[in-house]
Amino acid sequence: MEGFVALWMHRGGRVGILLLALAILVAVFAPLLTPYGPHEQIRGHELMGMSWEHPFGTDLLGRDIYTRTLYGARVSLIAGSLSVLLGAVLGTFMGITAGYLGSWIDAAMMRLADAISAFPAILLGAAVVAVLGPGFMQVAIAIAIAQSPQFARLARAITLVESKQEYVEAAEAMGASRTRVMVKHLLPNAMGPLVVQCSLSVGIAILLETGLSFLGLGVQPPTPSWGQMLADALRFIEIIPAYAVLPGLALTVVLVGVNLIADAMRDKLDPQHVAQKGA
Amino acid sequence: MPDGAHAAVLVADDLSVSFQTSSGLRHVVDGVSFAIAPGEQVAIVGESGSGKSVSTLATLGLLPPSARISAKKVELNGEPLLRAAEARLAELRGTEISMVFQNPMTSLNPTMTIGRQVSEAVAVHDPSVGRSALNTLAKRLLEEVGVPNPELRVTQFPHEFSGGMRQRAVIAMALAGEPGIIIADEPTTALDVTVQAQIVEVIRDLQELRNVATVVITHDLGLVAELAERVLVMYAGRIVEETPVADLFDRPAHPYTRALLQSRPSTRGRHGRLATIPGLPPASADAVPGCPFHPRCEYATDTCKTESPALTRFEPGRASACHRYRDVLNLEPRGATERPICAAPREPGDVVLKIDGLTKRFGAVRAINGIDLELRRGETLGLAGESGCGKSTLARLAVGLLRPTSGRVEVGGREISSLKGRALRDARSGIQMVFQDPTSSLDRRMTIRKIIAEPMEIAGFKAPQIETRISELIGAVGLAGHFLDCRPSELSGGQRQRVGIARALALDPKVLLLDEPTSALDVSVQAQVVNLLEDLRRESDAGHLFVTHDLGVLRHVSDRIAVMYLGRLVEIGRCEEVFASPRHPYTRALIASNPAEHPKYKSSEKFVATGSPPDPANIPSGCGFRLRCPLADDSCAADIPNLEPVSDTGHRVACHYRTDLNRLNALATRSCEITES
Repeated sequence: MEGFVALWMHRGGRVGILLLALAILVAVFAPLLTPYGPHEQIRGHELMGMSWEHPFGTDLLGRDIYTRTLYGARVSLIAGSLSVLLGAVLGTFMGITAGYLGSWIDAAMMRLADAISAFPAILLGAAVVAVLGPGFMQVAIAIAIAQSPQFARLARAITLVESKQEYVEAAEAMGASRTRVMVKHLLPNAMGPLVVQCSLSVGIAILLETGLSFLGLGVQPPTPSWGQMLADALRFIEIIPAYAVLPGLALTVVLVGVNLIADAMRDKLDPQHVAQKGA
Repeated sequence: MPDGAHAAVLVADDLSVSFQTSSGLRHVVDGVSFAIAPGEQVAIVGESGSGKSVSTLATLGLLPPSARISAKKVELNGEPLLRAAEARLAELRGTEISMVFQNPMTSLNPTMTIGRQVSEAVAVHDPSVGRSALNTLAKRLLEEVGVPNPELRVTQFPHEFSGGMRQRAVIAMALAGEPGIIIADEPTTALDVTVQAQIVEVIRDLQELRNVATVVITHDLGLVAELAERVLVMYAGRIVEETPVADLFDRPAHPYTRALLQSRPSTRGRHGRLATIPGLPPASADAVPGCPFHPRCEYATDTCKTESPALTRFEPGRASACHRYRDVLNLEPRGATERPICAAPREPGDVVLKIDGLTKRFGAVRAINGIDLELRRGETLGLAGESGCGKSTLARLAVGLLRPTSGRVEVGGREISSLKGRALRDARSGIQMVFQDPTSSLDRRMTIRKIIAEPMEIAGFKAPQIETRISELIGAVGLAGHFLDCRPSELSGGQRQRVGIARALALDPKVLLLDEPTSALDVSVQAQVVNLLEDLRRESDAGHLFVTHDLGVLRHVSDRIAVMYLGRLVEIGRCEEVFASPRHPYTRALIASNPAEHPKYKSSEKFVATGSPPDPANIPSGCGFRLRCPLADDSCAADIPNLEPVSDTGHRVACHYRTDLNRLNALATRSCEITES
């Protein structure tokens, strides 16, 4: 709560919160905001341009683009946050164990992280989807894997610093097991910077999800997603140029919102600042 | 200078400094006035947060922009400084006034050679000096501050210098501009005892040979005794006493000064319980109405609670900011010894910690090179040594945080050095550790309750049992119960250290390892912690292994002491015996290097070991100390002296000359070549 107030007091943070809140509200209350269903095909209304009935037009199958954009927010937001959460858990686990246990575990974990980050994220995502098959969860896992090295490196760096603090030695001296030291001491002390990193990663994750869906590797039709819609829009750009406007705009709003929040978090919850307060 | 009014080099009149913080305006310096005469030796003494550094930094314009400074007058050689342009201030710094900072590790630029840094300081002062002349000057300056072989040294980088040598280089830079005044802010605090003694010599030489005024800012009354003629005592942002140095120690005129003096453990004797100052200094200079010291003062009256005493001059050169300075002056000097020097040895109990042939290597670094040690129930064994001698490694080996390369550690008759996993964890409950830094040794995310509960949770205690024990423990270390729900950041350093002690006692260990438990604390707080540890030992019968570099504390708490040098014990014996008749040259150097407790003991003839301890990765053959030892000869290089008894009370010394008292006693007046190169 304290953190939320701090973000709200931050000018950029407030705008970010408002934009993101808008996106979340739209995703939750999509059914109330449109007379159409997301999969509803209206005969004879295929590929219409802007009209009173369909303010942003319809697609090849006669589905309302405005409606599908609203529902698409669900996919983007859930895929974005879920994948970051997975990536953070995976990466933090790798980083803390690597940093604390050291030796060959450290070497193995960090070389794995290097290997993962050597591939462009979208390529890596494509490879994972190729193995697991397309679908919502698969995309989230692919993105999580692509993002884990960042968390791993951050968690490892923090762990290396924190494990030299005497409180870690103190815990060891009183007989705490390694798991206990990692879970009870290192993890809570690494949390602040990791949360900031999460907020920075959400934007990238959403963009990645859009990218994979754009390539047809993400969420499969008929579930609407912005990436798919943009891909469709590209096909019909000469017939109805307005097709791309709304999904593109929605994506922009969400990304701007997420990044504003991330920046505000970094300002307010800067790890050094938090450490000073804690010291 | 037009007239005698500018006789003082540095003048501050009614200087106040406050900082804008998130919790409001914090007054750090409150109406401080001082004048430093040319060539004068002044010390400003006070505990952390007393405003001693801030008040001098403020005169130099070195405070961050968040500081608000006001003063009637701040002048350097008659030139007003407060509204001076930054360019002019920069010009004055280094030429008219120089600073020497605490940490020589950070006050030198690691990417420039020492020679360039010193000559740059000269060039700033006088840009007309040519390149080769600069180099010569730099060498001469380094030589003057006792850096051997300046020809080679000017081409080296800071990382090739030891801490003491770096501080010498910093002093050389401070001298480069031939300033009229040098301000040294805790110049020896970051250094080892024997090195500290060398720097004291350097500063004293410079006071004698150059007519430069020195202002030494310190918390260490020993340093004051060594380096000052006149002393300003600061408390809560004010000067509370101003006095010639001898009177400070003999007839303090402020209760705070008196309390500070009494809370110091002494290497010259043991005075029963240390006097302590209750409570804590106020966070902001204006937080307490009346005299800022009155809540902690045993002589406070009602007047003190309402009226703030002004700094009143009562004798030439002496002033006190106390309503009752006359009464304080007439108080008896510190009481005579209440207990014999070093407590009489207790009945020896069972051996609770036994260390046998212990060695530890980290790659090429030989940290511990064969140590045998026994600690008995109810006894305090003091372990002395400088940084890098392996005393912390020894403590960590004993708790099982490190595994020995060879040798054994037995706690309560059970060997722990070969145990692994769960068995090791169980065995550790018999030996617990209190760490040096009470800030980093407590997890800042946990409440005090959780911190104290943790060892019991690990040992598998039941929740109600833990609750009862926590309330026992928190009382035992003298903290109020409401602290249990605080986090470490809400506690002061001394309170945090008490929490650290409570945590170590939770499992009722047989051995308590204290790794420099008082080094991070202010003198008055240190006294509280030392007293607490004494009480706890009397109540329980755990053995205490007390590791510290502070001989005063060591002498106060120990029954026996052991002196370590380069991973070996060089001397061990009953406390009073070792202090009365140290038989190893290194022990002698350590004791002699401790700053004088009174100006009358300061002597330029005391035995100061030269150089600094060699690198543990590159230990000389034979006796480790021989390169710094004036007695060393071929036999010392040939073989390593063993610990041999010199008396039937268990006093053992590892030196070929342990029985040659004539040569040992002659050490005090011998100077020797600096061997570090």
